[in-house]
Amino acid sequence: MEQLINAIVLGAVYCLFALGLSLTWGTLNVLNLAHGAVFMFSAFTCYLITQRADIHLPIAVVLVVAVVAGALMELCLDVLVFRQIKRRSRTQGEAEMSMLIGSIGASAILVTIAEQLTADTPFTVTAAPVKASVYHLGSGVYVTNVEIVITVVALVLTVGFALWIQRSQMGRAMRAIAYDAPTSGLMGISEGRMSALAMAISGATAGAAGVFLTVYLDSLTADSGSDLLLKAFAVVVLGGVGSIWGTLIGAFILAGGETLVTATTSGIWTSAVSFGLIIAVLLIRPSGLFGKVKGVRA
Amino acid sequence: MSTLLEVHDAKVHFGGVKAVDGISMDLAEGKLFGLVGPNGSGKSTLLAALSRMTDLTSGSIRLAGHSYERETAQWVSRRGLGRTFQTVRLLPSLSVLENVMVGADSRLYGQPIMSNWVMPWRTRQRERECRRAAVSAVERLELVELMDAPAGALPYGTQRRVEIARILAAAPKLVLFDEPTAGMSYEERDAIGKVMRQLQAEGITQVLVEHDMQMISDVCDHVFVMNFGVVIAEGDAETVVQDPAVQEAYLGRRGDDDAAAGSH
Amino acid sequence: MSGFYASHLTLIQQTAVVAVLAMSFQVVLRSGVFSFASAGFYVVGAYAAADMSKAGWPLLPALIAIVITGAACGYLLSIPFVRLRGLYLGMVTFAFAEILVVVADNGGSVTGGPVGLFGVTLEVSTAELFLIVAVVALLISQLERRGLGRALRVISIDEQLARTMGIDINRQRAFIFALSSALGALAGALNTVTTSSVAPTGFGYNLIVLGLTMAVFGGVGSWTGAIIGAIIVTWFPEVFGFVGNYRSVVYGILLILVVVFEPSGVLGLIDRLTALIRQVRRPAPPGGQAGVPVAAREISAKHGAPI
Repeated sequence: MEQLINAIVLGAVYCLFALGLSLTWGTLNVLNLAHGAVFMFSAFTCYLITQRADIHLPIAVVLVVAVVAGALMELCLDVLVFRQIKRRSRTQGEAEMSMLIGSIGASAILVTIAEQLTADTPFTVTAAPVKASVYHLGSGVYVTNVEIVITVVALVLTVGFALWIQRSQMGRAMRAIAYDAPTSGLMGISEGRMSALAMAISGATAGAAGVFLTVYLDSLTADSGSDLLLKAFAVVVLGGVGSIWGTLIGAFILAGGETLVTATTSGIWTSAVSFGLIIAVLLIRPSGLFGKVKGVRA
Repeated sequence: MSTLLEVHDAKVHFGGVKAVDGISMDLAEGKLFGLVGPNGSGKSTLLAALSRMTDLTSGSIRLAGHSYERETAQWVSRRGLGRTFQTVRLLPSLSVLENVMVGADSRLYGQPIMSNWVMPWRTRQRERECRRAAVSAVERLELVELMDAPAGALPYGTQRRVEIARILAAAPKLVLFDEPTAGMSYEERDAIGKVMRQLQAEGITQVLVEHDMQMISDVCDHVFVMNFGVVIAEGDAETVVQDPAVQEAYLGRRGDDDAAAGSH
Repeated sequence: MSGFYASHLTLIQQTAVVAVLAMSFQVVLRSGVFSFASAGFYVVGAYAAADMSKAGWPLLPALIAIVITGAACGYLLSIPFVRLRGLYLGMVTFAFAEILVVVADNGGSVTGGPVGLFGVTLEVSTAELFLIVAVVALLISQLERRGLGRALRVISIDEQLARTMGIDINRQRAFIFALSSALGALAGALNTVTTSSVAPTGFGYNLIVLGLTMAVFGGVGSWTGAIIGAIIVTWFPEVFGFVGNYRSVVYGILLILVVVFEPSGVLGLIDRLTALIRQVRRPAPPGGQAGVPVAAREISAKHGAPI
């Protein structure tokens, strides 16, 4: 039963994080491999502030700091790297590849800095562990307030995002750009502004996930980002690129699968679950559960 | 005269859109066919289906008697079908000659996976043949001075000529031209018409999709008019432009009227 | 000169080893096949070499066996994945590389776990290393020539066009994928043999960054780019010693700069410079279609922006 709660919490966080990846992938056609590094580095920024600079902040403020840091990082990535590439490349395919490689470069920068500054040891986002009060749910099941907060906030953000993209004007503009950027441009929707917005939101989700996961798992290391990126990719592929509900369901399926594997194999093969899912989906049904997207296969 | 290409009740439906909705035609070998119709009539989709870049929803297509609705685009290209595209598709960083050699490769090379390693003398031989075929195609299209120029730097009309040279170098049996003269000057257009007639003299079957009715009546033996995914008229050029259904499709008018029929 | 050689032996040998890795990346990227699988096969080759050394295999048969197995496994792996579009293939092969690191970490006695294996007795001399690199470079250079070279270029630039030109895309991509995998395995084996040990550190993600930087920075258009990239990237920390452990930051910056400003890497830069120089030396004849600058003809050569 505890496993179930574990799976739920993880699922919620995976979903939030994967949403950011799915957003940029679906709207900008960019597979942002720096998303994982941004996740880690947002948490790392909080670490620097609360432990290296010794500024004590309540956990809520830490969350805000991470969200802002994440948003800023991905925004910079968009403006300094992606936009420049788009401006100069001759074909769509060339741009996509270049942006992919550029994002790998960006992640290398972030990961190495964090690695060196932490001497490759785990780090936390707050100096003191977050106080957790425990609730008894009956028949020996316990859940902490931390778990509740994380799950609720992550899910609320996910649903909020889904509603926003479906109902609001901005959301519609974003979907228009994803569908047909040049025509949307002619109709007054600025691709530049939409891409900046998308990246900022994506970065914000990465930052939030950073704090949530660090608190939940006690700590992160500099290479936690690439692990999570792999999981996010599995989630998005499973759920289908561009489908929010797919991401939600995919996230819980992955979290559930991982929890199961961890319980039965004592954690050695947990990361293999994402790989297995990726392979299985791409072989059997490449568009994912709810995907509605164009070419996966050449 | 045998039939090179048979199309029987071909349909290409994309979800609700019926781009091609039941087309049947028999293309005799060695003739030059025109395919005209307003924008959106399904001409390009039909070409895409014939060149296997799109799947048929139903119906059949046969090349020299062989059904090929399920074959790949590579297959039909190797059987002698060549095509041009509405937008020019060259490799801009390669020279004109190298671009044309890509066309020659498709006939001469087969599957050169390890031949460069295992039998270098054979590939050297083939390379020479390929170059010869390409040079001769380049000469026919009067591109010799530009042979080594990077294809990306050329004006649009010239690039189109390079594309046609590329097809010629492949020694095709059937060529589909998708609006080849768009963006060309009158001289260039005439030159292309001349090349087409030469090809016809060599027994190559051609399908020309065009908006320029003058060119169609100049070169084509038989014209098909399409609208809404079906053939609404066919025959030789003069008959077809006088057909009331055709006039209505192009001009939105009914019945008889003046000889604005020459172009739309 | 021999003093230089003796004191830089490790670096010189390392350059040769990573050159093979760089070529494994270059060969796929040039053809538009976005595979990081060679980083995964690097792990396989590395451990295979260590285990074979323990089992008493001599050098050449071991290397040959590793290359062939790498090619075969690469080919098998390509069957399900070769049709995937760039981004997806990239991510799948990225996942593949990462998972192999996990396998290595948990491999028990086969891989020595997180600590790795030591005391590899197989050895290779520097001359042999250079010979291997030369042979690989020769083989790869043949893929850039004549019809095959053109076909691979077309595939990377315009796949649909390739199909209408009779090119069997999937077969070519599978071949390139298998070749890249074999080279990755070879590079891993050479690494084990030159350092006499193997461990999971530096594999996976870091290896991908390294390989990408070398291939992309040097220039993906040709094998010469991979060699240039390997040399620059390996000797860079020597020249700029202060960078120290922040080497990967520099790699990241280099990657970004290249991909934004000069996607064809150093090779592309060289092309542009030579074109400029010739234009200055022999200005174009005035007017007319035939008056395409002489310099422009040079650019039509092997390079271009294959990414």
